[in-house]
Amino acid sequence: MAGNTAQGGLRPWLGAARILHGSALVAAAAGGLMFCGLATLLTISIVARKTMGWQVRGDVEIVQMGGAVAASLLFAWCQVRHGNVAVDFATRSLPRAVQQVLNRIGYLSLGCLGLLLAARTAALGLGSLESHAISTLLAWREGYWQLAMAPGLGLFGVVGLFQAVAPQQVTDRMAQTFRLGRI
Amino acid sequence: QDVTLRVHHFLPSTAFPATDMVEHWCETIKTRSDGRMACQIYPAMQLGGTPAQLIDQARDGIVDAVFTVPSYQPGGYLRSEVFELPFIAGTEPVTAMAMYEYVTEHVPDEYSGVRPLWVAVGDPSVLHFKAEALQTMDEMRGLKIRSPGRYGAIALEQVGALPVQLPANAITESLSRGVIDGVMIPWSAVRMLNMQEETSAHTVFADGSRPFTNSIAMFVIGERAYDRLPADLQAVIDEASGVEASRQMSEIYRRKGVEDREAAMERGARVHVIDDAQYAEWVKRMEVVRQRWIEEVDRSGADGAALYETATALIAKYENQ
Amino acid sequence: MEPMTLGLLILGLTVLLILLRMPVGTAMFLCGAAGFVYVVGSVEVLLAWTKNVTYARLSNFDLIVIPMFIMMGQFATHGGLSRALFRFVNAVLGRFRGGVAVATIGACAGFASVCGSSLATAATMGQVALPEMRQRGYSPGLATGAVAAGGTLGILIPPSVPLVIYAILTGESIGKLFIAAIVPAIIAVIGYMLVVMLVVSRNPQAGPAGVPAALVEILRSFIGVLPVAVVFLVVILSIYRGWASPTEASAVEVFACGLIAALSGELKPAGFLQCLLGTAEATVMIFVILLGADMLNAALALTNMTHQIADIIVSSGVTPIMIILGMLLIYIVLGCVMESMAIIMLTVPLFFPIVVQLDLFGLSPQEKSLWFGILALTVVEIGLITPPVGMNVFVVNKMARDVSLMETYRGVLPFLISDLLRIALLVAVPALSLILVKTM
Ligand code: NA
Ligand code: NA
Repeated sequence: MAGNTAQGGLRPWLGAARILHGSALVAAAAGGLMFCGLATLLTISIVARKTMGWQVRGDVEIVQMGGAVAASLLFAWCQVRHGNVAVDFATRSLPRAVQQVLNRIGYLSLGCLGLLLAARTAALGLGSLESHAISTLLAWREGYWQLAMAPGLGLFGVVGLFQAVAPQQVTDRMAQTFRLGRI
Repeated sequence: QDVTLRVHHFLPSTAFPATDMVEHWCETIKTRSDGRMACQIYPAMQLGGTPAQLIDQARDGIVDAVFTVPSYQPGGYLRSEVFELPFIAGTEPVTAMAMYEYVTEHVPDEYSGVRPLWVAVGDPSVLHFKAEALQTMDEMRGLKIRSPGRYGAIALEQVGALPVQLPANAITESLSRGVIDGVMIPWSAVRMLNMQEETSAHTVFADGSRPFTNSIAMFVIGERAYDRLPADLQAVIDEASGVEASRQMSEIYRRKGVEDREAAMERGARVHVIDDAQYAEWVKRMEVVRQRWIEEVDRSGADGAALYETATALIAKYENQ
Repeated sequence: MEPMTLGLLILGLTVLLILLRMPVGTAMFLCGAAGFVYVVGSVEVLLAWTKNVTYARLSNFDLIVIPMFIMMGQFATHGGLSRALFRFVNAVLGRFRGGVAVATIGACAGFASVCGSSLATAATMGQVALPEMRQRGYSPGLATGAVAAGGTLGILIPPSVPLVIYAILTGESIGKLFIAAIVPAIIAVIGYMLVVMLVVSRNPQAGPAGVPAALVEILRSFIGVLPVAVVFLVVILSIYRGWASPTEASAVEVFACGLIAALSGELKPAGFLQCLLGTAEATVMIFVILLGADMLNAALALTNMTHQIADIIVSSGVTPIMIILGMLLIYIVLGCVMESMAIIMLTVPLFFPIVVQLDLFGLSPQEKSLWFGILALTVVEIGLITPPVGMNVFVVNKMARDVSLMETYRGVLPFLISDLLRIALLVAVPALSLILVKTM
């Protein structure tokens, strides 16, 4: 594939795409694994509660805080895959160039949303640390978990912004690659 | 009309604290301001967020005033939680007056950015079960009990129960389907949550004893919203708030609690009153919870023991009035 | 501005942006934010509001069932369940005329009982069933139609992600909604099977009969689906009998399905990674719209428009059942071009307060909310197979490259008619949706 001139112009874009794609993939895998862990924890807790009169202490709050962090890690991968639904029915007959602009505006809006949510959730986390907000039974600091949501959401935002400006071929290749470093 | 206060809370609009307290208070300020000031009430978290975030919403100016239970945010209002510790509070009105003075005079920094207008102390939490009332403390071991707040959960753990966290609107269904064995909640919540079909056995502490725990709600206005008001409207709000308002609101809880208990008796519910020997046992077992609170306050940089003394002294003061 | 005018302006702009290809979640968020700032008069307050929304939404204990159910469907997809299911149902039914198509419907129903998504059901079962039907000489329209329609069972049969979203938006019980969906889902399965039989009775060439399978094959294939069948029964029973909350039940099911897939040797590490990535994609698609819906709903609540609309409708003298039918019509129209989950999130906050105020057959508020939830689910499900944008049809059509889109739509048509009949039945007889809940 290498060698032709179009490819050469794409090279810097591809480098950035590789980093974003890889980060999003790793984040989503980590988030998914966290959900598997939470499922296991809840299963142990409910079986113990039904049969042994024992439960994982604070299971609900672990699932709530852990689930929020796990979910935040999934966002960037969905964006890489163009998974956020848009309705193209009404605009399908427009010229290609116009459609491309509409797509980019959509990516831009998602990118801005991601950065906004990341920044604001970080602010929430700092506020929680300041007010000593803790979880009910385990007394874990809520603020740390909220801060932990910011990177995933931020990556989501960066991917969106990248797609808004990157060449179409690059974003398409990101969306269709499922292995690390293969872009 | 010059001013509309946006009021946000987590209860359904038909629940009695929403109508008899929040709406009633709004009527009062409307009348006393000759219609110049009124509320727009948003029930059931219509404007988003969680009940734990309500006071922050008033502080940030998202809404002007909120009605919530501060301890829904564990740790955030740690020093106020002293009134929910086991066997400390007095009657509802006494606790409310004491707590209003406590939060405004002794721990005002916990409510920086907002002004507590009144405190509404719920009637004492008791144990509600489906069919069988619990007789001795040992029977608590292994029971799944929906727990009220952080210290309520810790208190239940001391007697071997499994505290289960659930939002209030999930209690009735969880009871009916056996997800929980019982619930620690005031009598006044029974009909509000439509629990009367699901609970026919109740374990209570003797009348006149201090409550095991109680859930304490508060109505606060954001400082920005308050500061924006002209002086005469501020005066209207001040007049409808404070120690006396707190006493009145808590009377409503007390009255509802008595009514719901009587209604339960009429339905043929069995009520087991914990005897003196068992009560002493409970009190002894809960000493740890008090110590825990004092330690946590110490760790936050305040003097736990001193604040504990202040709280009990305030309760004694209003009990003797 | 009048509350009504402002509210309708916000909603109208949202729809306009959606039609202009703005992603549904950001269109809702943007218009909601604009309305919020207009009412509150301060950007600073909007920023304060956005501080809370993400954590409040994502840490919701009920919401965890969405990634859980999606992941379970992924395990089923990558764990070979679709093949096992089809093999079993086909061994039983393949011998009859049109039997493979009936078996496809049955296998879709089985797959739907562990998968909360229709697209996944259609895509997964399509991979197995389509080649089989084409090889046996089934007519292209019947083959693709049966898979596309059978796929819609993915959300009709619990677990169902749209029902979870409906429950979260309305405060309704997830467990009760799942139980309420069971009878309507059985009616749907029977209806689809009848459609296949009707099609082959009118045109025997459409679905020739196959060779009867030996009893040994039936038994062997039955063992293949047994573990998952047991998991499903245990979970639905524990929701029905109240042994576990839906969140706990979903966690147990993920754990069990993952274990079964791993032990069966079907789920390799690479497949496991695909499960995680697929879960991420499908989950976030929903969460982004939910965050947008939160913003939009806050703005609409600030305008007070829903109260006004409800008052106008209640006092207008239109009969309540006409209002319900009007809403269902709106759902069907939206379903022609929009994604089912997005429709639920866009409309339920607006319709639900109105529905609970209507006097419908003397139903209690909870009965009304359960019944309306099932109706809404049934009509948005239709959107998956209606032109011009029928997502299930697209997915299935992509797999059968020699079949034209037109032909697939024609094949779907008889199934669509059975859907409409079923909706009429569910509207006329609310008891069908409520009877099981009453016995809980
Ligand atoms: Na399903
Ligand atoms: Na459609």
